[in-house]
Amino acid sequence: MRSRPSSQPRRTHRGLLARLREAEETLRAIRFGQVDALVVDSPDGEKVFTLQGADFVYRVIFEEMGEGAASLGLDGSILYGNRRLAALLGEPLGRTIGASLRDFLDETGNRRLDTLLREAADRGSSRGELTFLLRSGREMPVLIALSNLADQGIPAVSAIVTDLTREKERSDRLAAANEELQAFNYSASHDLRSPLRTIAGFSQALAREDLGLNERGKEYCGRIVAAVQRMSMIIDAMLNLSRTTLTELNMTTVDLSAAAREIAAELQRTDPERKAEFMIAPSLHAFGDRDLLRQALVNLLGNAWKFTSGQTTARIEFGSSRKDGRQVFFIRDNGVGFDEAFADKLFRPFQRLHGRDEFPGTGVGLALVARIIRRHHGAIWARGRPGQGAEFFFELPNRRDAER
Amino acid sequence: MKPGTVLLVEDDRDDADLTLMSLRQNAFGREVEVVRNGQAALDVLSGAERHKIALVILDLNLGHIGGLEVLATIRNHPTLKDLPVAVLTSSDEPRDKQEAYRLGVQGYFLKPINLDDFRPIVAGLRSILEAAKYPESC
Repeated sequence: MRSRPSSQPRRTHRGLLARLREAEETLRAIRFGQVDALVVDSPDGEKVFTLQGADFVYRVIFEEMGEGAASLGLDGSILYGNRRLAALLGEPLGRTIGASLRDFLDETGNRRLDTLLREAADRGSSRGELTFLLRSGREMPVLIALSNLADQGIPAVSAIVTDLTREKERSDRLAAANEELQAFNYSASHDLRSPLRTIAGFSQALAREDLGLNERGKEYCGRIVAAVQRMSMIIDAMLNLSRTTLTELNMTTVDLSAAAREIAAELQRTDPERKAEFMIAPSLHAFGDRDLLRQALVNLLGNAWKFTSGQTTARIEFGSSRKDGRQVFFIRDNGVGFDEAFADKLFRPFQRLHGRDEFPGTGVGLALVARIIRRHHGAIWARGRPGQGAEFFFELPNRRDAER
Repeated sequence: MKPGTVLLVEDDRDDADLTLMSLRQNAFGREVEVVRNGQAALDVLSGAERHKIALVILDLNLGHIGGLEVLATIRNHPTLKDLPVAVLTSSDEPRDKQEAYRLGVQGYFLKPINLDDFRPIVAGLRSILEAAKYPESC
């Protein structure tokens, strides 16, 4: 015998099933284009949304967008194009539609277009750079992105065309500037060093050979040589700095802990008498250019080594912590520290926060580190107090972000 | 010219004098013939006394005919191709160094600012000359 209370939920269940079926049918109808309009209840009463209306919005976007857009036949013929495409091609819209994209490409361009069309057909989409040859004689570099429309039952591809003229001009200018800088570097390394060698060499010769120079004269010669060597170091540092900007990054996973251990051992070898404790956290890895990241660690650990020289026991730590889910590397020392009011000077080239007599150096080391980190799209900052040690922090994008 | 002479190709007079001075100071013990440009070097190397040259010390920045060109000419020459060549330059550009080694140089030395740093260079030149005496051993 059926009890009354149980029939109520069963009815609700049946009702819900019916509504679900209805919703599914509606969705299927929309998908297959059998629905022209939807009536939706809203607080302001019933509203009618026509799918034609939705289509209209896309039509406006298509016509007004800043990129050239078209549907192409599989042979490259332009089935339909927007006004921007016509403007890019330098043709009236009427003449663009029905023409072929091939009319605006040379032989190489046509072969590239074939490849892109084939890729779009095989993989659903493709993108690549082409050069349009316009009727005016102008060459226009463009990026073209194709999407296959075959899934919708249309034997065509959609194409978005972006004018790259400005980008190309910019990258050409940049390449020219880089080339000039490289030529300057080359000349600097030769032409600046050559007179320095002459000054230092003959000063040494003066002091060394039997030329009757007294002790004071010899001491002056020694000072000349020392100054020249310092200048030579500065030139090397400058060259290093600009090479850092110019060389291409060779991205790979770098074992920072291993590098830091090697560098620490090298530092200790330069002065085996010095008491120093290096605390290097194991298995710290980063994604970047091996040589440049190593150089950054050389300079950061070298910096810590230098500024702890007055401590009975130098303590230098390399580790990492988490900040907002990201890994932050740090190098911490118990050296002389610095006044945070001048923190922004730390990473600028040829700026020094301590006298050269106190701590030797070119004033380029940390600027180089900052440039290396910036080239990796990372961040670097520092904390310190006079007499209380210094902490340097840096962050590098992880592999996924770096490759994006 | 004595047999076993070293040919120094250097266009900068100061550098040439400092190099000669340092070779003497470090008891290099070889006669050194100095030429001031690439063409003069090639003239000596194609002249009657070319077999007396035991080693070429080559600057890279030489004007018209650069050091690397001189080196390439030597390596492509039927009788000179095995002549030991050492580069002595102010260029520490990786590009120059790679190209020099690719063309088959026996040593690549940077001109030092401090004359004391000539000592290891002279030692290097000596060992190149030694190695050239026993070509089979390498």
